Amino acid sequence: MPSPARSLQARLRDRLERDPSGRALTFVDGRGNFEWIPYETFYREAAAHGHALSERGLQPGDACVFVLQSHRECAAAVIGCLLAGGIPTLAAPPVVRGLHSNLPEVVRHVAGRTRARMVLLGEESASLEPDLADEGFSLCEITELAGQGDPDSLVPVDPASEDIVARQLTSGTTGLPKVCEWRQQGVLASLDGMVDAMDLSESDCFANWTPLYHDMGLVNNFFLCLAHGIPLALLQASDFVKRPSLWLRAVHATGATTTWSPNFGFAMTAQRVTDAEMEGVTLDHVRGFWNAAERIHADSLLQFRDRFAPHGLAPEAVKTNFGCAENVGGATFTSPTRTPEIERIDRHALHEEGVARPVDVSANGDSLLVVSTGAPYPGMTIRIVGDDDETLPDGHVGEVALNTPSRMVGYLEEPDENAQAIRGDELFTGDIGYLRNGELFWTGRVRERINLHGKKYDPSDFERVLFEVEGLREGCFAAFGIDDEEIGSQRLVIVSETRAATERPHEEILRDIRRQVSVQMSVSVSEILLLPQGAMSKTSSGKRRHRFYRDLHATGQLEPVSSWSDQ
Amino acid sequence: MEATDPKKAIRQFILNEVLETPDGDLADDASLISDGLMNSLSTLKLVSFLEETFGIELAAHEISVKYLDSVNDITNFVAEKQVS
Repeated sequence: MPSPARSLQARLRDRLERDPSGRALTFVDGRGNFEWIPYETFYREAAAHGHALSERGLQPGDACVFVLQSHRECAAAVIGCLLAGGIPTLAAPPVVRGLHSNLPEVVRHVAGRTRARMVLLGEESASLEPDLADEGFSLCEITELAGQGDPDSLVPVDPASEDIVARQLTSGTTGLPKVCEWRQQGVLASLDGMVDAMDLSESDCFANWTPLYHDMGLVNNFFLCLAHGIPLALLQASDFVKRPSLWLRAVHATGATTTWSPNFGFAMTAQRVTDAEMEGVTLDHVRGFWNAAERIHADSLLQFRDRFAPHGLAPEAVKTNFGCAENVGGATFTSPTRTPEIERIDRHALHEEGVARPVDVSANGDSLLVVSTGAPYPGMTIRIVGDDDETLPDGHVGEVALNTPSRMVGYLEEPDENAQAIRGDELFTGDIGYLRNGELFWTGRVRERINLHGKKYDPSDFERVLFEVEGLREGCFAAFGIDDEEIGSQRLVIVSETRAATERPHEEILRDIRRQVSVQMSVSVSEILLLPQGAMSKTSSGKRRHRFYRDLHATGQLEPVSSWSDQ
Repeated sequence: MEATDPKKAIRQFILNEVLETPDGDLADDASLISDGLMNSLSTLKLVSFLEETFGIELAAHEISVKYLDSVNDITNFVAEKQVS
């Protein structure tokens, strides 16, 4: 099925000739209603948006930042931008209005890094407009494009395989996101790799609720389906969170064979969907419920599989994947015909020796379950690298390095980060894991990273927020995620020193931390521990500090002067 | 569910399903979202409860701190939606 075309745009045009009346997309509403859009209709809608953007000054090679939910207009504008030769970057709009007050700064940063010609806003992001005026890019309201462009007047572009096609945001280390840059050849290699590894064909159908501003939504679903002739049903993430049954009902109603979700979505769906909501829903046609984008919990997989087995869910339909924006999309995949391997390994040997030693179930308290994320797609190789750059054998834990045809070009304006991530022909992912029989088992991160419901944060993201809290010592803090099996994701913990001289009551400081993190970042803290001045300055700094305090927290060795927890 | 006492129903839902402290105390003017007690996921869960319980539908712009930050705010907002 993979097309030999050298650019994403050429593949989109090829499909227009091959399959104009085929089902392209549908947007499932909050009640589960949907209507398929033929490919030619969507393509012309996108081309009209592309022409409208051109009329507003977008030139081939210009960057365009989208701050939009994943609705039909956004989908058409992103493809329109590509058809006009523009380079899209998508940023997440606020879900709850009035929160995420640092978003204007994020958008300014991204627009600056990408030298954006324009920023597209919608009703969901209109509140940003006053903060983004006069910044050297033009602001465009998405509704203003409707009916403005002429699809037949769009001048088609013919990008070369080494041209930049899109950029993706990923968690940064300065409190602002890094911008991954993708070439045409990298994106196409990723799409072809997924087609091979997942054994996809045009008889498949996808349903997806992960947003387009997430690389899983953008590449693994949107680009893949449009370029390869696979119908795609899109749901809004907020509708899914409100009623998780909508996901499974849409999978049933659209006949979807393939669908993706971060782990928390599997846990939430298994726990919240009722039998009444599942009435009439069958899942026996599904080949792949792909669990990806955050740590995969064995319990969540098994709970989901057992909960929906009575509705026809086949055990081998529950799949796992490892991927990252730096690799454009998915890297490793469970075999199409098998269930993911789950190993019980010795916890002590893992942490002390860096060895994944299988143990039997009797070692319950001293063991942990690790889920295989499968094998790399054809053409990619994985090396597990030790501290001295040596290649480690099977079962030994080290950094995951990919020799991959879908590697990013690099992060924009981040020379140190690029030197760390790209060494020779390899992409060093910052992930830690081990190989067994050609499959990758993920066990952690080199540098602490917090994953909250599929969205990744660097501990440094919280530093500038804590600056705002009177009574804390600047820079003397740790932020880390702790796994929570029940929610299938992580909870955020913040540890900070207080100033000895502060007269501010600790209760007030605790409340202010919760407020600042919530309002600025739209994230909830689960636990806060305040330590006395000087307690943290004795410990190592930088990336090790967060892990050091995570370990102290896990073993109950922190002695806070005051604390708060949502538990 | 007593339709005559929406405030009680809202407070109990938040205690049970969001804060997971069914016997806890919750002041009607406590800031739930802006003080970080509710995140975007639990806010959407609350919205789903409000829509199903009170037969209303919230537009995307109404999922806002302005309307949903406290039990009092939520109760007033639901009452306004039911009238309109």
